[in-house]
Amino acid sequence: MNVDRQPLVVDHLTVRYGSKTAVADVSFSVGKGEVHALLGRNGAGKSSTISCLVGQRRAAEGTCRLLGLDSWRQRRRIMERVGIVPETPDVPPGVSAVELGRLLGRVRRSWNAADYGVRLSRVGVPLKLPAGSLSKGQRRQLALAAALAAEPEVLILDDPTLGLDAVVRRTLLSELVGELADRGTTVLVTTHDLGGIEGIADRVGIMHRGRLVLDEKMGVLKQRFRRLRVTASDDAAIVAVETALGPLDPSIIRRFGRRIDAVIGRTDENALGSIRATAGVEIDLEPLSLEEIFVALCGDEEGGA
Amino acid sequence: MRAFAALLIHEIKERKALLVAAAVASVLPLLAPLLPATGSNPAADIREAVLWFVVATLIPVFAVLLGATFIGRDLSEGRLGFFFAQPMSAPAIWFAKLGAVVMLVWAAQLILMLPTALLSGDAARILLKTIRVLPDSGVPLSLLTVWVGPVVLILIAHSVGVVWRARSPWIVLDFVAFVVIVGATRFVLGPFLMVFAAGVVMTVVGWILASAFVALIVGGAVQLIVGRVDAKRGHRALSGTLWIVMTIAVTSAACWGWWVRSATPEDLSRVYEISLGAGSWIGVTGASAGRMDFYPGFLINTHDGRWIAAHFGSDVHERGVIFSADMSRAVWTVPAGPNESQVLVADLNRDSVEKRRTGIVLNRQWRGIALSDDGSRLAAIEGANVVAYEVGSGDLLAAAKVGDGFIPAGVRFDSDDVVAVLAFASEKSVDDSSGSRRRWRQHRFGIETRHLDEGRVIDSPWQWVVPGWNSAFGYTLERRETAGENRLQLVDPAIGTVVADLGDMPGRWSDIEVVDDGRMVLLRQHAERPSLEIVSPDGRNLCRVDLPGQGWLKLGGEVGPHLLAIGWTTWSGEGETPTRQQTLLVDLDEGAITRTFAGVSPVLGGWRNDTSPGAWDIGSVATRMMEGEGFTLSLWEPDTDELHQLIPFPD
Repeated sequence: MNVDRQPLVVDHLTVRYGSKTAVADVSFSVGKGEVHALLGRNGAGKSSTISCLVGQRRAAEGTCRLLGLDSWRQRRRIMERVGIVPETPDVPPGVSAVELGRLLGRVRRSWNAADYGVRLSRVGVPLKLPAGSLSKGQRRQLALAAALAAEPEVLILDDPTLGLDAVVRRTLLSELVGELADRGTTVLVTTHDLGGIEGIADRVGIMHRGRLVLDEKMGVLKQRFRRLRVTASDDAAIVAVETALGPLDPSIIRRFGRRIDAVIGRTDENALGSIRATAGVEIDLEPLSLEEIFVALCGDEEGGA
Repeated sequence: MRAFAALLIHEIKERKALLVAAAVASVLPLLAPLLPATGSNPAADIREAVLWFVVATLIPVFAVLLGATFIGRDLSEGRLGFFFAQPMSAPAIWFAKLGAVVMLVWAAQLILMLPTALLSGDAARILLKTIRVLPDSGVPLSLLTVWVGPVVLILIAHSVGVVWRARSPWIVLDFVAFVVIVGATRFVLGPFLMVFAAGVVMTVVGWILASAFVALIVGGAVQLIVGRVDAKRGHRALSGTLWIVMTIAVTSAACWGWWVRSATPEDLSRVYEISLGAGSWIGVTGASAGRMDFYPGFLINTHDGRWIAAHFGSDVHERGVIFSADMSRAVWTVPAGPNESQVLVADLNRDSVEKRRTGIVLNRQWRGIALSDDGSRLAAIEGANVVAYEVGSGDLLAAAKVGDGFIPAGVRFDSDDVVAVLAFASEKSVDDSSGSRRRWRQHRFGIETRHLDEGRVIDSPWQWVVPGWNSAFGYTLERRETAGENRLQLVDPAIGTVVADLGDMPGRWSDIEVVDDGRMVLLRQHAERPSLEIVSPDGRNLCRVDLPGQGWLKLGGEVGPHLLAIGWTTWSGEGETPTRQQTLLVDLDEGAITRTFAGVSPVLGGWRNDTSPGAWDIGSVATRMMEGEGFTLSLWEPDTDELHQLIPFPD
C-alpha cells in the first residue's frame, strides 16, 4: 500500500524543546480502519508526536499528514474530520456537557447530537454540571463523547485510560473497539494500559527515548518475541548457550547460577537447535504478553527518555 | 465565521458573572446620595462622582483580569488545545476570544454607567463625556480612556501574562527591546520637545501608541498562528511581532522627524519671525507644509541665496538671530536642556558659512542678547543679571546684578567694552488703560572694570516703547503727564531742561522714529485722521503729512535718503484679520507720499523687532524688507523699483 495515501502518516518527525530532542526522526503510518497503539514510557516522545500530528506543535524536521493534508498548515481543514481525546482533558471547566454539545454543534459541520447524548447517558456523565466539577474519568468520557460525536475519520487518543480505574478502562476500550470497527475509523492510541490495548490494536509502535524502536503488526510481534529459559548441567554449557543466543536477537539475558532467562526477538530454529544440541541443557520457550515485550524493549535501568 | 461567532458567544457566556458583578456595582452610585456624610451636595453630582470612582476602579481591574487570563490561563493550564482541536483558524480563536473580553468589559461598563446616566437626564454626556484631549484634536477623552483604555489594558495584560507564563529567556530580550524602543522614541522626540513643537510630539507619540496598539492585536494573533499551544514559541512570536512592528514604527517616526527637521528655505510656506541686520543676511523662521508646529529657521543671504539651517526654536524664549553691526557674525540660541539654551555662532564673512557651538550656555529664560560691533563679544540678560562672554572662546568675561527692583529687559553694546542695559520696574498708572506702567532705567556696564553704574531713569511715554533706545541723538524724548495728556518732550539729559514740547501723543498706536539725520517722525494716531509730523532734531515742526485714512500705521525704516517706509493696515468689521496692507514711501523733505506698495507692510518697526545694530541704516536690506498678506517676504529693489518675493520661493 502506498504510504502517502494512508490516513495517518508521520514522516521523519523530529521535535525539539530548546536544545533537547524529544522526538528523533520518527516515521510510521496507520492504514484506514487500523487501530495503532503507540507505546512508550513517560517522556518517550508520544505526546510530542501526537501534538505535531494534530497540528498543535510545529515539527523541527519532518512532516505529519492526516487524511492527506499537512497537519501544521492545514490543521483547520483536518479538524473537521479528526477527533482528539487529549492526555489531559481540556474541555473548558465552566462548560457543562450540554453547553459543550451546543458549542461543538455550531463549530463543527458534522455533529451527531443524538449519539453524543446517548453516549454521555450511558457512561453516566452529568449533563448540566460544569466540566470543572466532573471527576477525571467523567471529563475523559466527556472528551471522548465529544470526539466521537463529530464522527471522525481519524480518532487520536492520547492515553485515554490514564487515571481511570480498571473497570472503566476496560469498558472504554471495549466500547471503542466495537464502535470504531463498525465505522471503519482509523485510530491512533497511546496508552500505558498495555493489557487493555493488547486485544484491540492491529499494530504496535514502541517509542523509546524519542526514537521509534519497533513498529509492526500485533500478531507478528507476539509471534516473534519469546521468553527462553535454559537450564544447564555445568558452567561450560552455560557459556556455550550464551554464545549461541546471539542469532536469536535477545533483548534481555539474565543468568541465575546455571540457569539463563532471556527474551528473544527471533525464533530461529537453527539457533534453537544448536542450543538444544548442547550437552546437559534443557530449554523452555514461552510466549510473551505485550507488556512483557514492552518491558523487555524499554525497561532499561535509566528509565524513560 | 460560524466558528468565530460560536466561540465569541461561548466566551461571553463563560464569563457572564462579570456582568452580574457590574450590575451589583451599578447600584453603588445610586445609593451614595443616601449616605449622611454627603451633606448638601446635589444628589446628581454625588452619583456622578461615585460612578466615575467605581468605573475607574472596577473597569481596569476587570480589563487586567480578563486580559491576563483569556488566553494565558488556557495556555498555562493546557486547555488551549481544545480550541485547536476544533476546525477553527488561529486568528478566529484569537479574535473571538479578544472580542469577547472586550465586549464583556464594555458591557460591564455600560451596565455600571447606565442607571446613573439615565437618572441624570443627560445620558449622552455621561456615556460620552466631551472632555477633549487637545483643544483641536476633536477626540473625546472619554472615548480614549473610558472605552479604548480598557482594550489597551486587556492587550497589555495579555502580553505580560504570556511573557510571564512562558518563562523563557526571551523575557530579557523583551526588556532590552522595550528600553531600546522607549529610548529611541525619546531620541526622536527630543528635538521637538526642546522647541515645544507639541503638534509634532503628539503626532509621533500618537503614531507610536497606535502602532503599539496594532502590534499587540496582531502579535496576539501571530502568537496563536505560530505558537499555538506552545507557550515559549507563542511568546517568541508575540514578542517578535511586537518589536518588529515597534521598530518599524519608531524608524518611520525617526524618518519623518528627520524630514521635518531637514527643511530648506524653499520649503517655507509662510514667515513668522524675521531677524534683520545691516547686511544681506537675514534670519527667518516660518511654517512649512506638513511640518505642523515645527518652525524651521534659516540664515539666508538675500544677495546670493546662500543659507544654513539655524533653528531658532518655536518657544517664546528663543528670539531669532542677532547680527553684529559689521555683519561678520550671527549668533542665536538653541535649547540645550529644560532650562538651558546653547549659543551658536556663524561667521558670515567666510565663503562657506557654517554654524558651530560657542560653549556659551545661558539660562533658558534669557531676555536679550547683543553682540559687540565686531561680534567678538556677547552680552546677555539672565534673570536679574547682565553677563558678558567672549564669543570665540566661550569664556565668561563679566557679570553683574541689576538691583532696586528693576528687571533688566534689553542689552546693547555702546562700545566693545561698555554694555548698555535697559531695565524696568512696573508701577501703578493713574491713566494707562493697562492698569500699570513701567519706569525705565538705563545702566552702563563696564566689561573690563566689571562695574555696573546706578543707571539713569528714563520716563517712557508708552509701556513698550522706549524713546532714545534705538538711536543715538543728543536729547532724550521723555513723557510728561500734564492735565491727563501724554505730552512728549525733548529733554536735554545733561541739565534736565525741556528743549521742546512735541505735543500730545494720543492713543496707544502713536509712535515716533528718529531718522538718520536726527529728524524725528511723529505718528499721531488721532481718532479722525492719522498724520505724520516731521520735526527737527531740536524740536521744530518741519512739515506734516496727512495719511489717507484710518488704519493701523507703523513706522518702518529709511529705504533711501530721506525716504521713510510707513505700513498702513486696514481692517473691515470686528475681525482681527487685516483686509488690506500697504506700504507708503514718504519723502521727508517734501512731506509727500511718493510710492505705494499694495499687499505688503515693512518688516522693520512695530512691536516685534528687536533688530541688530545697523538694521535701520539707510537703504539696508532690513529697511527694504516687506512682509505680505499670507506671511510672505519680499525685498524692494530701488534700482528696478520691483518687489522680489523671497519666501515662499517663487516657482
